[in-house]
Amino acid sequence: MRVKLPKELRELLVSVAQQMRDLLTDDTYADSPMLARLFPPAAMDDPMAALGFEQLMGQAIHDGKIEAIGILEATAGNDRLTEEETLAWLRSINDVRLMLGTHLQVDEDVDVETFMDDPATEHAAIVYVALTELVDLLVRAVDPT
Amino acid sequence: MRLATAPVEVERPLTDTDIEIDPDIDVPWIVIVWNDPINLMTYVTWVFQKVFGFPRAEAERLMMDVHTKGKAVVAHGPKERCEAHVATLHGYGLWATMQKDR
Repeated sequence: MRVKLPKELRELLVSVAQQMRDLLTDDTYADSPMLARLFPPAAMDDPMAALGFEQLMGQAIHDGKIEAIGILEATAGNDRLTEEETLAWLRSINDVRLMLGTHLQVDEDVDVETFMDDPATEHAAIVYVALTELVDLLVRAVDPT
Repeated sequence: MRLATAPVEVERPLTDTDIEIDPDIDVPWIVIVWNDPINLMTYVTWVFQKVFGFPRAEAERLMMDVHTKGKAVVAHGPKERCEAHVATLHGYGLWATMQKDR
């Protein structure tokens, strides 16, 4: 797939990839709600079952996210992406949306643009909206139909 | 390298209680995807097509069920298969859970 992106957006992808990598690897974030959203419970109302799933699958899911972030970082400057790289972009960029959206406490009833009026959340909101548009574009590009 | 095995001493025939049975193994399980305010409808639809091979119309229908009803059952089957599905869906950022099919 051919990828035409402005340099600033490519630089942004590298920057958010690094933030995501920190979230996934730095113990300081162990209790972060953003991390909790990336690894949600696999069972409702059953903490033992959720724990069992985490023990069984947690590491593999975690490693998969790290791998996708690595591919995004390595290929952010590319003009062409393989199918595997495109899938990694989709998954990792969407994970960044989850991270930012959780941080902003995005709600279906609230327009994200309102976060842009608050200097504390303005930057995160702008990045969130930009990445939302990028995910939408990528999905349309890979959609078989 | 020599493989040494201890002789097996059996004083009585083996019964079901000698073998550990996982009571969950043959019970059908279901995979549920829950609505969330972040994942795009187009993205969720695409994930359903990609992961389960649903045709677009079916994937869209399930996505709309998630969106309007709060959740939808997207798969059913043996426990191990559902665990794999949940792991894949978490890999795509969807919130999926599994439970026994009642």
